[in-house]
Amino acid sequence: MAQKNQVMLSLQSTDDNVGLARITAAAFASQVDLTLNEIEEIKVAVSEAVSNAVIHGYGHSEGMIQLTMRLYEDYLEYTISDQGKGIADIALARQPAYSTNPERTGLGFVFMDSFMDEVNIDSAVAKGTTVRLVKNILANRQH
Amino acid sequence: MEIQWFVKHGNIIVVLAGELDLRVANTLRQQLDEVLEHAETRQIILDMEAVTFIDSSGIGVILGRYKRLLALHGSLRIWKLQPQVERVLTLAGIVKLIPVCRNEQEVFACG
Repeated sequence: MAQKNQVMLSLQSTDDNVGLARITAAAFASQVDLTLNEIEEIKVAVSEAVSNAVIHGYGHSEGMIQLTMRLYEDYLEYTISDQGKGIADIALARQPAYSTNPERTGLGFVFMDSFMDEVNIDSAVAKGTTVRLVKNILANRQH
Repeated sequence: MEIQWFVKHGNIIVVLAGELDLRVANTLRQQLDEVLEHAETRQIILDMEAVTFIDSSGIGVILGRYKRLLALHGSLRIWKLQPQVERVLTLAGIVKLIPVCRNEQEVFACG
């Protein structure tokens, strides 16, 4: 599948950059004809993935997060990578209401799964996590 | 983030605005807890008309205050949601727990 566009963004792991990441993700999505709802879904999913990297990946300590956005003929792909502590049990982390912190809702992966067409997680303890989010584009909508 | 609040008909109306995400979660939590601790009533209404975005970090704060209010025999209601925010709260199951009121007439009666 031919790649039509790509943007890579490297973000310091801070709370302040979560908003920047999702606004950039929405701006990248705006080159295809998505509905406002679909753009909102991408914003929530990217916000969750970047928040997870800040909170869980790096535990609010220093680190860098890579957001790579790619446009293909019929889908948008966002990958969010960190080199943080990794997820010990991915299946457990994806369960609704699972959280390692009682002040958190454990809804991050629920939103990613619900709002995106595909969610893949690749993680290794002490090496980091990469989350791949895919949003399909209906063929007749593209510019 | 600076929240505004006022008392009306025995309820505290807390006016939230902007994007409720990880960046504002801690401040929002502290400010809402401060309102809960110092207010004379524990009947709280969140006016969310000016909230344009929410994710699980913002929802966590609201859910946490809801649980706290229940423990204090208070109540929490939400007033005036933007459609995109309501979708996220619905998916999270929040609207089944916390009454959502559409307008001022309804808000003092609903829930």
